[in-house]
Amino acid sequence: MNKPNISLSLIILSLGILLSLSSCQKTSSFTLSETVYVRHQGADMPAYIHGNSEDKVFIIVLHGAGSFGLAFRDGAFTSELEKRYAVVYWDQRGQSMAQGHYSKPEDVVELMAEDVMALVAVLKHKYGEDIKLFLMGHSWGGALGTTVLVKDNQQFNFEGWIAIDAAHDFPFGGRARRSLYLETADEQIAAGNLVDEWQAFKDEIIPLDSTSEEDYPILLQKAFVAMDLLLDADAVNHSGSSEKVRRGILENNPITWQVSALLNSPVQEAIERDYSLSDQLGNITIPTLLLWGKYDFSVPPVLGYDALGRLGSADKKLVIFNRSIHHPMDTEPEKFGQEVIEFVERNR
Amino acid sequence: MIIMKCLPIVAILLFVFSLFSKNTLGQNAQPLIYSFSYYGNNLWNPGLKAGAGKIWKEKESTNKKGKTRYHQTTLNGNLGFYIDPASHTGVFTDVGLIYRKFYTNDWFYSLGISPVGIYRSFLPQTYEMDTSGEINKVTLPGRFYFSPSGSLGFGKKLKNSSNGWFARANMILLLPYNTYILPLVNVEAGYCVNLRMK
Repeated sequence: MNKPNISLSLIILSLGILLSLSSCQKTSSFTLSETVYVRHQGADMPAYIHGNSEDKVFIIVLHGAGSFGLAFRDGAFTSELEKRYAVVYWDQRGQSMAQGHYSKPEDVVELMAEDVMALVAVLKHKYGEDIKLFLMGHSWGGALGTTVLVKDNQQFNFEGWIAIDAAHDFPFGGRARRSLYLETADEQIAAGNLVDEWQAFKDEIIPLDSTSEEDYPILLQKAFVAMDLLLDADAVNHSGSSEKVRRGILENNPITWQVSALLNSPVQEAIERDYSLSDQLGNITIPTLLLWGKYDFSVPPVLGYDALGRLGSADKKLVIFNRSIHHPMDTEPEKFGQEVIEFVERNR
Repeated sequence: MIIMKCLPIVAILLFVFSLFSKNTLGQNAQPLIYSFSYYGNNLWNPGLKAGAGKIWKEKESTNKKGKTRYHQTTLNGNLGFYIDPASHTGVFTDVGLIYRKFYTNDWFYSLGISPVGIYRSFLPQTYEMDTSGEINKVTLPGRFYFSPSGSLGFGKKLKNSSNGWFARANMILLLPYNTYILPLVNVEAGYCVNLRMK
């Protein structure tokens, strides 16, 4: 045996033992930090569960299109919510680290809603039937959450519904986008912010037709221009977070995440189907908190006002975040945390 | 997680494998090429990979400047794993060919293709909801995927030794993954035993 072979062998042995030790996690009796996969209809979907389970309050987070569960594990989620509650960061079917084998479903939205109920059943099985569940959905996750709540009597599994910039009506959202651009341009011009730029932006928007299929993607793309102008004028808060980047890269495989988002896009199907749940919102009677960025060009806040009017809940509230675009949890985390905690404490 | 508990066993097997690698061959046998490497899925998800290769074809050629090149094609079998701490462990095995072209200064580049491969993911605790709505814990949760792969790399044979080091970029395709396919991008850095006897 020569020396290089012995050295190599020792390195291999040490690495194996180190990797084994690194997999151990320490948790106190009420502090949860674990990953649970849910297998349902051909998919294995991870739920990353973190926080305090002492009061048996669990918040299930449904991420938006092209996002992933752990993307939310930042700001108010880690500094406030996890201290009080267990937060379930969930990767949906075909998204991020969810895996499996299955044929492309005929009705992916319906199937994904059933996935959420499978998650609920697993959480109750694992943590007890007496856990108190809150459902939280952002953007596309808002559409998915609403789909869950209007199905049969599924809403009664939850103590409350927290909708963040939630897309319950895709055609309405598309139509409202153009109006929000023009309103925002007028507001910014009146405030003296980047007047020439906003005027040029307005001139580009005016000829576009919000009901035209051809103009739909153009109007959607204009959101980036409007966002940049708002950021340049310091009219909204920046959402950059090194912690979010770290989680996106280190705790989540970015290649798997991006490829999965590209190949499995339920939101695209929802757009093509003109998916709308507006007529069914009246059936939702559980307490609901609607949180919206004032300048959300993806899911304009007029959808929040519409939902507020239609919901059948006796306890319902809309909160507008005046310095936010599409991610108020990132751009105004303190206010976000306060509103969510107040809502959960009132309804738990 | 079962695979985590098995890691020391895997490490010991590799340890024994490497200890006896020299002793299992007869005096006149063409020695197998053994490789051991750090395997980084997505760069930072750590893993290990071991392989054995048998020379299938080899030849020397001389270019227009009169420099000799040694070409080597080996039939390889590989076994490896990586750990993505947040979500899963991947274990894979494959067979294929590696072509290496050596230069006079002992540097070489390599191209590899493994058309046949099997990948098994190992997931943490997994619960399944059956058609009646019952929740059951899944035993040995995870999925098998067909996993052809390819690689591109370089390395150097050590002076006065038949051994050498190498680095490779590697891509495994998992299919069918969800409804389509998933590429895994990996890097390898390791050591080859009996890389070049000539």
